[in-house]
Amino acid sequence: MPEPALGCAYTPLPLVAAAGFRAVRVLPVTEAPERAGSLLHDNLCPHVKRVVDRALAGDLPDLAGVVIVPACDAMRRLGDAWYAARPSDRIATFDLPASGGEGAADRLEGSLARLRDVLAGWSGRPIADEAIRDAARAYDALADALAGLGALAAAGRLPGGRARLQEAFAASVTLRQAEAVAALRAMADDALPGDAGGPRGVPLFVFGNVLPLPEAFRLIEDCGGHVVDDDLCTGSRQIAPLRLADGEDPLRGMARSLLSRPPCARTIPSGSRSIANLIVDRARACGARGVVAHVAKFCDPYLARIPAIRKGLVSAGLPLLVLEGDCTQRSLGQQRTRIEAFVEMLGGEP
Amino acid sequence: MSANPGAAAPLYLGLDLGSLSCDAVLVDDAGRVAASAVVPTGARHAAAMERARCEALGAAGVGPEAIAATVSTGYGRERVEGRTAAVTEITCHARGIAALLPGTDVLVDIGGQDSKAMRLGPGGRVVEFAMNDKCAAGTGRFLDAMARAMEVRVEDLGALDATATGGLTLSSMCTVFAESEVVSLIADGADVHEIVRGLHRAVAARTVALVRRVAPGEDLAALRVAMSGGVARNAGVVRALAEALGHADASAVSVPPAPDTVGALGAALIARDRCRRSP
Repeated sequence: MPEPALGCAYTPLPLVAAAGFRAVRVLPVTEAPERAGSLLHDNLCPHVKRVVDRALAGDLPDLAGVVIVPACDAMRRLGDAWYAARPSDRIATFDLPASGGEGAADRLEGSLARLRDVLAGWSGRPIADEAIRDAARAYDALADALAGLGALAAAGRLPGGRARLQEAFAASVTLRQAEAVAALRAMADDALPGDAGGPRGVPLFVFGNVLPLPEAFRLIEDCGGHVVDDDLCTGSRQIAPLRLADGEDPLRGMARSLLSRPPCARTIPSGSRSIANLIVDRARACGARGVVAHVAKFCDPYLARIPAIRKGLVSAGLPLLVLEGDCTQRSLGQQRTRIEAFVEMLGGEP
Repeated sequence: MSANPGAAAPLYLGLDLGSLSCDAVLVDDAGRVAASAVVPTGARHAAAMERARCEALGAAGVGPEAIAATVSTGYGRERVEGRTAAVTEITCHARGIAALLPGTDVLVDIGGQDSKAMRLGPGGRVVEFAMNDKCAAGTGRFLDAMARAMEVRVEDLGALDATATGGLTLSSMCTVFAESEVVSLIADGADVHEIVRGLHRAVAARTVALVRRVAPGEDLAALRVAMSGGVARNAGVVRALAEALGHADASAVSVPPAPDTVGALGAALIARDRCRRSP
């Protein structure tokens, strides 16, 4: 069966799987020519532009439809541009509240129900609650497998390091869930023994939005860094376990879970913790000596929060390196000296 | 090329392969400069590196066997064969200036194709840095291009600036657009001295923005600022930078006697430090 494509980490994958589809995240990784400028403003998120480049070039599998999460202005423009590029595609939108405040769970549950009905229409059969529960369990198994691989990578025990983990993150949103879990378990089977961790560099925490290229992590490791944890929407934030409670309505449970997952910069965290607080806490918890922010150019939600995040990190004694990228390998090459100098500054041997 | 022929082996070599020049510095066990050389990089990096190394060795009066360790730096640092280590120019310039001008708070390095500001902590350790982004505006190549457009030598820019009154402001910092603007100004009869002053002010304004990034919220006029890199030989840029930082006197920005070899000196000192740590 053809797949629905999607472009945001907040897309409720178990719902797509419950409809019998393989969900394919359209990552901004492509050799397609850069033509999105014909549909979108020059100063727009390069993630969205590269996804549109893929749509324009037909660099996609056979699609049953497209799920757009209009989480930010750029994602809304993605919906418009996709329609212009491929007018015959079916497009569903999945609205996501910006905050987890009162009423958000009700609203999100409504969004999930609408998406379920659209997906059911695409597949030609209703989606039973039990199918959603089964998909949620498979999704949780995927999340657990990724968490296990993440722990191995942090300990220096995953051959290929954090770059290999990035390949696992990509597999988790492009393969069928069962195939992805099998692939991740095979990777875990290759892990080095506990007393034979690979060479490690200066421990770093990486946060930001879209950084899907394994080469980016290979570069950081070549420069003497060791990524011990991340908060990226193409990394650890991409798949967060649902843990539906027994007897809980599956859509209600998914709504609750989506609202409580680690927030990205377009989301206002529930409670009194700001994004800056959360990032400082994560960086401290993983033992990082420095923090790298990798932000797609023109991503205002993140760039606007960098000063507060920097202030929090400075207070915690954690230096910050801010890199801006455009989802291409050429932008990575220009970062080498900055990353090397940052690692040297943190005490990596000069 | 300079030398202290009485220097004793072993020596430690720092090689800074920049976009415009390849610099070599040899230091002895005490960290004293035994010899140095600066040669144009050109298109053949390996040849430039070898020439710089041979000139420095010749000036020191020793053969290659005297080199105990080599640290390379600059954008071509990974291309240096036989190196002990490659270290970024940020760390090397900081190490070099800490030896030459201890107590420096902020180091500004303007090289051939990039400019950087480094906030230095105790012992000259880098605690924050910022680099220009992706283009050569405000760098040595920018000034090179402007000098060509004005048909003057880049070495003469500082002297040309000295007699300007400062009544001209350039609106472009992109190398291509600024070149067009300079050509138009000359065609309109503008005084070259004033154009040069305008260029230097534009470079200084861009550089101060980097300094602000590494010293947010600090009183820039209270910082001890030093400058390294080939552009630091241009007294006009140094004066403009001092003014932009809030000083009336150009001497508020310290420049070591050989600013273009600060990176190579830092690399040589790091080579020596490494050998001391692991004899």
